[in-house]
Amino acid sequence: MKTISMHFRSFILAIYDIFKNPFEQLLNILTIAVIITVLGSVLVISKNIYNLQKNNMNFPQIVIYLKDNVGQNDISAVEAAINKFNSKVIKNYQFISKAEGLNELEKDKELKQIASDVASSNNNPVPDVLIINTNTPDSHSLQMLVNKISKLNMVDDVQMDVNYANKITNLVGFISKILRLLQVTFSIILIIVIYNVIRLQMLLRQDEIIVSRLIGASDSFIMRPLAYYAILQITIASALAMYLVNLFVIYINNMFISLSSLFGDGFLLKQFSPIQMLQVTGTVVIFGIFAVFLAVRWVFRKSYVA
Amino acid sequence: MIVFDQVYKKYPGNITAVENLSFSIERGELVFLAGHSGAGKSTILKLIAGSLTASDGMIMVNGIDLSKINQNHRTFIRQHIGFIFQDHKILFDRNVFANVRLALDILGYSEKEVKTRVTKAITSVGLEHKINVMPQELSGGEQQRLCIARAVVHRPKILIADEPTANLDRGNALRILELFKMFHKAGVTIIISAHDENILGDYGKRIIRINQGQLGS
Ligand SMILES: Nc1ncnc2c1ncn2[C@@H]1O[C@H](COP(=O)(O)OP(=O)(O)OP(=O)(O)O)[C@@H](O)[C@H]1O
Ligand SMILES: [Mg+2]
Repeated sequence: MKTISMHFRSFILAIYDIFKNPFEQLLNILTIAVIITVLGSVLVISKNIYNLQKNNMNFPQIVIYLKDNVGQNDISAVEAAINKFNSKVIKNYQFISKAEGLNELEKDKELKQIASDVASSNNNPVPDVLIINTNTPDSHSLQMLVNKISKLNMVDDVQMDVNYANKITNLVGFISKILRLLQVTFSIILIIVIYNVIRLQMLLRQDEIIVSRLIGASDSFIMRPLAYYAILQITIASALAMYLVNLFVIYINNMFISLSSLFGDGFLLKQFSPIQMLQVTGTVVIFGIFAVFLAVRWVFRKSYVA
Repeated sequence: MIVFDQVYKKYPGNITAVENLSFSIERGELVFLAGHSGAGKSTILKLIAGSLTASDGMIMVNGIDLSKINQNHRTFIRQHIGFIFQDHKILFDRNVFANVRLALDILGYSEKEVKTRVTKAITSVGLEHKINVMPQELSGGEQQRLCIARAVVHRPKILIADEPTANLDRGNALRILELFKMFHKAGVTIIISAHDENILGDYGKRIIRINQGQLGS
């Protein structure tokens, strides 16, 4: 009972302290929030890149160009051939008819004129196309697939861009490395900033800390209100940061909205889930409590109190 | 009971503040610790309260050997001593009441008990009309009374006062000493340091004289 009421009192005191100097607090909270926002944004991007890799966005695409004037039967025959391969090699495929292909061309600003000329001449040169999204980087099984399909007589040409896929893989790997570096860097900056903000606050309260210590306060008595104070501050900062990260995601997604219509949802960033938000906040709060512990020790040491 | 047995205290830089010092103080006694500035009075009082540790020798407080206890135990001992600091250590960001209550908050007293005990302690030193005043608005003598109230509010068995009469005129100093007499009558062991012996003469109590960290005459 005594302990619970002591915790409650510490908590109330912490709230009271935060509202006593709202402007000073705001500055500290904003400082912490900005850094969590940067770190959070890096985390969101990393997480999405990781998903991108997991969803094999970067495995080669195989484009099958069909001969002119193929009928529905021919198309079904090619599809049947594709379906014989198992899902380890083929993720999915998509048929784009010559009409749809021309439509796509008309969407392009620069090609629009040519496309509409072609369309009006009633002689659409765009071939029917089947696009296979593959499910493996294994060039041997992919080559087998290409060979098999090339042999079908309604198929005009088969193209597989292995180089392009490799380039994407390398690029994504490179970006991941940079992001990991940024994560580590901003985590370290966050720890240092939290420690310093808290150390400065302890400096403002060092009289209280020292007097309490001298008249018999235990470590936990001294640290309890300070820890609550830090937890409150950091939680507010973290909530603010999560909101800012979501704004960042929305902003980026608006920028890439045109890309996503071409490549699918893979190019839209996913926001933090509530659980991930709690994880980030929890981690930062633990840093905060640790910082309080170190900062109070530092005050003791600095003032020669045993 | 407080016993010093061949105690030494060296500060960093090879400064010897206390040298081969032995004395004992009975339970319920009121003693003065007299000596010129720099004699080692504050050092001795901090050694008794456990906020400093001896370099050599043995210090016993109520049967406990202070050199053999850990941090938690040291904290526990401090909670049972009232200490009036030479530099006051008043918290200027809170009023008289809040300064005094700190000692009870540390011990986890309930809000109701805090209110009655703090009011009682502040009344006992004659500051009841200043209970909600900020320390900046108190005179030197009143600040000293505030320190005494904070030191006695949890009713310690031992009360240590480091130069409580310094910087006070004779009238105020005597009034402060009267307060200590009152606590002494209630059975508290009291140790008071002073560099000016004039004021101690009339009290008929034991005076331990310190000279350069040793017993003097
Ligand atoms: N933290 C410290 N580090 C180094 N030397 C110290 C420290 N504290 C005190 N001293 C030295 O120890 C000696 C005794 O100091 P102490 O404070 O005990 O004297 P005092 O009798 O209380 O003096 P005063 O009447 O001026 O308060 C002095 O020479 C002082 O310079
Ligand atoms: Mg002194």
